[in-house]
Amino acid sequence: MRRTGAFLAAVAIIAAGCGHQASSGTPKTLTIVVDAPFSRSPYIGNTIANGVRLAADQLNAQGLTAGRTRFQLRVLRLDNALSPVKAVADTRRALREHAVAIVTDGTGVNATWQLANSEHLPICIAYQGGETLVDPERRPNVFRIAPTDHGLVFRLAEYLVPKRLKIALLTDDSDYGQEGRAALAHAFSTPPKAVAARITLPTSASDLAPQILQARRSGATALLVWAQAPVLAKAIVAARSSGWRVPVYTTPAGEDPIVRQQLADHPGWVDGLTFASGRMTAELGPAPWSAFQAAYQAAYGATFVGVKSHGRRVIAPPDYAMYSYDFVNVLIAAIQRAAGTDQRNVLAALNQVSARGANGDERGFNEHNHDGVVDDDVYFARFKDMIYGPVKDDPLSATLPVIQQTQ
Amino acid sequence: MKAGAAVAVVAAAISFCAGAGAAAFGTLPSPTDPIRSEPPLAVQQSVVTERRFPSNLRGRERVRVGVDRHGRPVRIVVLDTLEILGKGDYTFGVPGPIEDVAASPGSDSTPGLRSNAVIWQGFSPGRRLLGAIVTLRAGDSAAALPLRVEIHSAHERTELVLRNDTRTEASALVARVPRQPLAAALDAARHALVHGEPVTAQVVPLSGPASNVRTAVSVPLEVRGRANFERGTARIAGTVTGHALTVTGRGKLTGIELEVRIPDPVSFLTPPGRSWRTARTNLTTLAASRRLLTAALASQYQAYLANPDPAGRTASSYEYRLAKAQAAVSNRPSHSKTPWLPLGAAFAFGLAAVGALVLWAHS
Repeated sequence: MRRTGAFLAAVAIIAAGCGHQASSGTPKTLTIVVDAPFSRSPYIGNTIANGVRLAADQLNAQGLTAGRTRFQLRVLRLDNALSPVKAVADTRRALREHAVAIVTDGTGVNATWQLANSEHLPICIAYQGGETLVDPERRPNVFRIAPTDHGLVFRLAEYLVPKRLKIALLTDDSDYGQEGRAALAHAFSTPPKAVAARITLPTSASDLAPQILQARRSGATALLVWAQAPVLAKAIVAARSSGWRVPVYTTPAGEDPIVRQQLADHPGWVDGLTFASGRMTAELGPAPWSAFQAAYQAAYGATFVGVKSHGRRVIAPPDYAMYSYDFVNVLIAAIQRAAGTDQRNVLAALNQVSARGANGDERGFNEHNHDGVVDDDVYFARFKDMIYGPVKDDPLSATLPVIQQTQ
Repeated sequence: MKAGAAVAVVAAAISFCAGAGAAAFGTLPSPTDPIRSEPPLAVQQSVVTERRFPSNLRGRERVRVGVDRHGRPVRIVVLDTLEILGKGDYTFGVPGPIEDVAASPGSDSTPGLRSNAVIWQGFSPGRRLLGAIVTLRAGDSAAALPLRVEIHSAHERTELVLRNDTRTEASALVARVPRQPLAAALDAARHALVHGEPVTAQVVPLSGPASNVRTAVSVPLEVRGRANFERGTARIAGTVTGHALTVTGRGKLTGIELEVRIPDPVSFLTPPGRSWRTARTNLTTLAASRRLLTAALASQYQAYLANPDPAGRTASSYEYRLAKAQAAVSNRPSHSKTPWLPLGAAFAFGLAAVGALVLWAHS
């Protein structure tokens, strides 16, 4: 009896040893670091982190294997507070944690990419669109899934120039505004007659009336504001409070809840604000996006803007969460293609794989382009009653549905 | 191979049926089904999965071939232009042994590069012109070129030999078929090619025994240009068929400029009159099959790089030039190890060691 038991135990041990690693033992933990401005721009930080977390939870639930190894994803949130110095420290921490990727808003990437690249650690930017941030040749480990500044200005010029407007280009003095200023200078260099003035908005100013007056005196018939959300709100306040009903165009900053919160006392001032951003839905229709939005809201609740439209509470669609969500799926496709987590192989595989994105489109990078949002995907939306919908006078935007924004 | 076997089976069945006196039918070749493996250039594995476009893709390709002093292709670059006429999203890849790609001037978008594929993705607002300058791996692409160039030098003379490299073999139907259905099949195939419609292999009734034969097929190549020799220039204009076109000059060959045009596949199905049905020419199944096969082969050479749209039309032209010596080397940064760096380092180290030794001896 004892012999039989010992024999069975030996057989069990051998059988266990012969089994694939994938079918036994605890899964190996892969850490994805989210380095975002949680303290300074919580909306952006949380949106990026929630997108990563949602993808990680879904993938963990499915069960992850690469090669013969089972994996489980862990998300580590680090606050860069919009500080490049903190971003560098966070990158060192990510290396110590043997992270498989860093997902960031873009803060400090100019300082962190080399550090990360020394270990072939991929960085994905999920918010900032600066042209110089991503360069597949010089910065092989930097990727981005977010509308690029190049795409935004290219599409803004394509949309605005035929309208024969005299545009005042207003940029703030933040890094974001200065990146935009450079991009705008390039895009609007060919039709100089379209530009009435180029004006810098001080982020620290409490009142932008002087700059708005300067724009008005330049003969501008439209404002294109490339600034952080609070500065944009102040620019609109300055224009509307002086009785100037000039059309205002802007970047994705226009959909930031801060703009509507700061203009909550004058909802009519938001009407007509038009912004360029990455489209949420693909040609396949809104179903994949709606499924993503539902999953996001089920996990984290709706993001309430803090204003009402026709008596209903306005919510912010998780469009930027879609980008960080998509990156995690592309990253896992790369790990699976690389059949493991060898960072050099994963980095190479990121150039070769695609994954089905939250909106149903394929998302991926290639050897020449580390931007996962193509310029053509930039659309225009206009506010009315505190919610926005795609414009009808742009070929792409006219094909897109209105996304539910009230609850 | 499989297609050939299938045709043989059909032919055998036809023979049997004809022998038994039953109503029998034979199958003519399709003028659009490929009869050789390349072109379009094929690759073992491509990572592109999604293929979507709002309208048919119209393609235009200029294939620029650089040959070395023996005539071997050492650099192949394709100026590939695809036109989308329709509103909607597009995402697709162009497979091939791609070494590098860049947007061509005038392109509305920028191509991406993955292993063995050029990637296109975006939105067409109604019309989009996608232009790419595609550098191919010459070693993996040369076999699909239509023209082979040979350069022989001896005794102060150089011989430039141009050979048609499109020749292949395919199965053709040999049978007695009433003239009208055969003529109607040719007319239908021509009509479909003219209108860019898919053409299936057409079935014709047999009036006697049928067999299947292997027949040689090649596309006549219209070649124009010139060859520059050290002492004189030779103008070249002609059609290269089964026989090579040879040009001889005095001195070394200093340059060639050749334009090679593939005839329109429709031209092989053009009747002597208004239609094959009304034409007063003798028509056999073998002759009809050869015409259809030649059209099929010409269709293949019209797309050196594949058009991602199976129903899309592509027209290719080919240019041959004498590559400069440095052009023989790939323009892509090579990751292969060069011996010069370590050799140089070793030499420098040795020099430093000798210098140190001399200094030490004199100290």
